[in-house]
Parts: sequence; structure tokens; C-alpha cells
Amino acid sequence: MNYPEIDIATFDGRFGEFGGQYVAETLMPALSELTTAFNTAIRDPRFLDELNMYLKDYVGRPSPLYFADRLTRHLGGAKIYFKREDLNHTGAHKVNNTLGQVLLARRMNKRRIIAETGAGQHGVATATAAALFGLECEIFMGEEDIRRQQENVKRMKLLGAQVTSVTSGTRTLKDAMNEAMRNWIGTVDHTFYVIGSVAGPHPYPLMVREFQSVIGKETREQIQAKEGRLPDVVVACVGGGSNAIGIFAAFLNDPGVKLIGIEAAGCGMATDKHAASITGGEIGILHGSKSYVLQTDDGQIRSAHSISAGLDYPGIGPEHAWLHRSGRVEYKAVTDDHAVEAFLELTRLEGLLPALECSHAVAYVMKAAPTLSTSDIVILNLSGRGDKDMATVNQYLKDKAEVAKR
Amino acid sequence: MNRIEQIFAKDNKVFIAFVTAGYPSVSETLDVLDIVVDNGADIVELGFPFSDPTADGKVIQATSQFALDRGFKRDDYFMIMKKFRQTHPDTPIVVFSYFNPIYQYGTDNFIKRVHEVGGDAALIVDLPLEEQNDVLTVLNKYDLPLIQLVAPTTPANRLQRILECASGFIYQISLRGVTGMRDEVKTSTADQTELIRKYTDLPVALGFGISSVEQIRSVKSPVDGLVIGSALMDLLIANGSEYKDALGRTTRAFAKAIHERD
Repeated sequence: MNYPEIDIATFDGRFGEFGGQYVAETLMPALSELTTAFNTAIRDPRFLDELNMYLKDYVGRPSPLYFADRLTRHLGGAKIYFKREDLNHTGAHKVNNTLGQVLLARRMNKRRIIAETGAGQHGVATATAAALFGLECEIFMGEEDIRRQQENVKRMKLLGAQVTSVTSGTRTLKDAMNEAMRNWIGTVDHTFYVIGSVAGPHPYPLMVREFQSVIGKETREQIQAKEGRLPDVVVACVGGGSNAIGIFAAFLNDPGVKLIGIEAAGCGMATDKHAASITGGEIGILHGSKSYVLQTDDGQIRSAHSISAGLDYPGIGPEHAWLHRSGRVEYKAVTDDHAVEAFLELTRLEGLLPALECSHAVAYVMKAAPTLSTSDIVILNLSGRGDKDMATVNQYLKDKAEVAKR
Repeated sequence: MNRIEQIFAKDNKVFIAFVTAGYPSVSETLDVLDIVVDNGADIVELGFPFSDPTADGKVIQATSQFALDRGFKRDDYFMIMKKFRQTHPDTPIVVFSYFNPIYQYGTDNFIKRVHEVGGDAALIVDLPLEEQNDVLTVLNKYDLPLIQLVAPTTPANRLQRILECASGFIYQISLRGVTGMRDEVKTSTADQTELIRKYTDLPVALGFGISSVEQIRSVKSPVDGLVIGSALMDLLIANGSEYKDALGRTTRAFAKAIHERD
């Protein structure tokens, strides 16, 4: 299937029936202003030159494409490559987007930056970009996540950001996003809201896609240079879905490249403790766009569960909904248990500590690679480093040992 | 004339009272509605509790979450409306909801139920002009208005397009922000009200942040009605099970301030 090109200048924010702008009237003029500013900036060579300079000299791009030789031999199937987004400044792909949006905020003369965060990675990446340009920054974070992610809270504060604890609802990422939107409704004249994923109302899914698409563009060139051809499979984890869109975007029109998105199955898809919006959700409206959502029969949003805070979100970006519906991307789900196993195994085999988010994708590759031919090429987006997850993994192993003892 | 038109055709300004369905319980919502209407509210805006109310301040977040935690279900909403309609044949009920609970049930199913239980209009807070087509088609089928919101940020050309789709009355948002009590509501809303009247003959109601008799007196003159929600819901929260007298007294004071001649 030929995937339609998105023309930024005329794109209306609808990925088929998905996407849109389901927000309060107060925000509509701001979204319209943002759309115009983004459309102009993304075609302005001066804006792009500045962004690219920061991506190169500040973030450290291009990130390498690494051939995981030991893992490949261990699994005895397809050749496995990692796109090393974990090597970016701040340790994940998030900074590609926050730099782009904060540069845009500066261009729009907005003096204050706000953002939501779950695990704190997007919060740190936003606070970093705000510090770089001397802008005021407030990060909204669920009380529960603040408790679980103390290190990132400290980092954000060191970077000069104010971290506001969100005590409503489930006190996690979705509620942090609610609170950021409420704050934006009241401060829209001088505040820029930096959304961290390909979610939210138009133009966010488009804008975040554009800023993250550098991942796929580099990957495509790098694999051509190394192997002289395109990969057979590209795999990425999906919460809101920004790292996945970032790497998939460059391959959407290559029917020979199989694209696989890995959602978080938490305690299992048979339970209600998971975060797999496509695999286990229904179409609905959350945070300004129509997509797949975890919800009750009454249309109340259900809380998500994943051991990985970055995937612990009951929605998914609207473009993923469309890619699922059109069949271009296949979505599968991996449990907490398998993600942690993959985390441990990759650390020992390759000396790479993957973030728990992309450990889900690693788990899938470990299962799938042995079934593929040795001439097949698999690329996995290693979207972040796992240092932030040490405490979570240790706690998980301790809990498991307790259960085993009983 | 329908119920909403009849209310606005009266000589005095209109008091629209917002009540969260299911707070403090499903059966007590009917008591709350009785009290506000018996003490002078002209129109009832019945809030459908939603898990993620992004346009609401702390008070309505709290009442909504409380109702959901107590097991509030969609059927409860329609039951409340139906019973209220039996005892108050002339008081308009405006359905106030976020879009997902409507979409999940099926817009057609939801609006049909609203019509069956005697609802008079719908206000969907996260459904701006650009997303209204499907819902407008269904509402038109049942001759129910979609209440259009106008914000202080809405520019004039957009305002005009919104008002072309308007029916029932216009909901003018008084401030940049979410719902909830404020010490001060800017009196500069009058300029926008004047602009609204250039494009429509429909009545204009002002809402968000209004929580005292003094505020009512300072903002009411340009508009045809005022919406008060958080101030009433906050009274329920503050007074626990002993809310009845306080709610009656405050509603009466608000009603008097809204209804009295300038």
C-alpha cells in the first residue's frame, strides 16, 4: 500500500478519521497560531539550520546505527541493528522534539514553557531546552510519578524548572497532561505548551512527527551505507508513539520494510492492567484528538499500567491509529515480565542498558529474530538509556524473589 | 416557543445553574436540582462527570471524580434527567459533557436518550466548531440546539463563523482559564458581548468564574443570563451532608442579584 505523503502546508490534522482538535474554544486560536508558525518555520532555512546546528553540536546527532553482533549470534537469526537514540544528550529521543518546539516558542516570542511528564524524560528534555534558551519553565508531573522518579525531579529542578505536583485523577501522566492543558487555557497568551508525544490536538501530532523524523532519515542513510539496502523489519516501542513515528516515517512508502510497533501489555492483555491502546482499547477522544483509547463502556478513561512509566499512558497518537487501521504497521504487545527479561539480557550480552520503554521492543526482537533468515535485517529503535530505570528493575526483581519464596 | 426561548423571553435576566450529576449521590442530585430551581435558578446545566475534565477547575474536577468513584453510570444521568423533567415540566435542562462519553455510546444513541428524557440542549465543552458536523446532524434531527461557546481569545472572524452555527443561546466565557471561582471577573467582557450581538439575535449568557453577588452585579448588565457552577458545587463540598440550607440560601441570593433590575 502506498502511504499518502503528508503535505505540511495543507495538512488539516486528520489522519483518516483520527486526529482533529477536540479542545476548549479558548485554545482554538492558539492552535491556529501554532499551526501557522510551525508551517512557516519548518520551511524556513534559517530555522532549520539553527535546529540542525543544535541537533549536531548540542545533542550529538547523528546518532549511530550499531550492529549488535553478539546479540545477533546469540539469537542465531536476522542481523540486528540498533538506532542509538540512547546516546543523545539527556539520554533519549525526547530532546529532538523539545529543541524543535522550544526554538519555535522563541520564534513566537513566548516567554514561558510548560510541559507534562510521566517518567520525567520529556520533562528533563523540555527543562534542558528551556535552560538553553533562558526561558521560564514549569513541568506538570503526577504526584505518583514524582514519588517514583525522584532523580528526574531533581534534574528538572537543577535545570531551573518548577515541578508542579498533580494530585487529580490517577496522579500519573494522563492527569499531568490534563493539568498542563488547564494551565495553558489560562496562560495561552504568553505560554508555549511543549507536548512530548505524537498525541494531543493538531498540529502537535504533525509537529512532533516532523521533529522526530530525523531518526528515520538518518537510519535510512546509515543502513544503505552499511548494507547497501533497506532493512526487512523496523521495530519500535509505542506509548504515545513519538520514537516509533520518528523512525517509521522514513519507511512508510517502502512496502518491503515491515514496520512493527510494540505496546506495553503490562501484567498481560487478559488483565485490565496494561497500556496497549491499539491492542486492547477502542476508538475515543482523549487530550484533543481521536484515536485508540483505554476506556470503560461509559466512555470514562481507564488508567493504564506498565512497568515502564514512558509507556504508561491510556492513549496513542492518531497517526498510529491510522497506520494500524490501514494495515501499514503491525502492533503487538509485550508484558512487564518479558520487558525486564530483555532489559537484563541485553545488558549482559551487549553492555547496553536499554530504557524499560524500548526493552519492550527488544523483547519482541529476541523472540522474532531466531525465526527469521540470517540474511534478514532488523532495526530496533533504542529510544533511550535505562539508567533511570535501575530502581524500578531492582524493585521488580525483589518483588519477584519474594513471591518465589512464598 | 420551546422551553429555552420561553425562559429568555421573560423580562428578567436568566440564572443558569450548573450541577454535577451524581454529586453527592445520584438520588441527592435530584434534591440539589429541586433546591436550586425552587430558589430561583431558571435553567439547569447538568454536568456529565468525566474522568479527564481538561476545561474544569478544581471544584468540578472534585465533584466529577467523587461521582465516578461512587460508581456513577451513564444510565444514572438519563434517570436524573427523566425524574427531574417529571417534577419540573418547564425548566430547561442543558446537557453539559465532554465528547468522549457521548462518542463512546454513539452520538445518535446519546442524543436520542437526551431527547426522550426531555433534555433541551447540549453543550460539549471540547467540541469546537471544526469538530461539530456529526453532532450537529444528530441534534438537528431532534431539533435540539448545540450551545456554542465563545472565548475571550476568539477573534472576530472566527466569532462570526461560530455564531452562524449557533442556536438556543450563546455561552460567553468570561475569562482565559478553566471553570472555577475567581475573586475578580474582568468587566471588559462587555466589548465582546457587543460584538456577539452584531452577528446574532440569540440571547447571551456569561459564565466561568462568577461566584459572588458583587460579581453578578458588576458583570450582568450587558448579557441576558449568567451561569454559576463551581460556587454552588463548592458549597456542597464544604457543607457535606448539611448542604441543603446553605445551598438554598446562596442560590436565593444569586437569583435575587441576577433577577433584580439594575
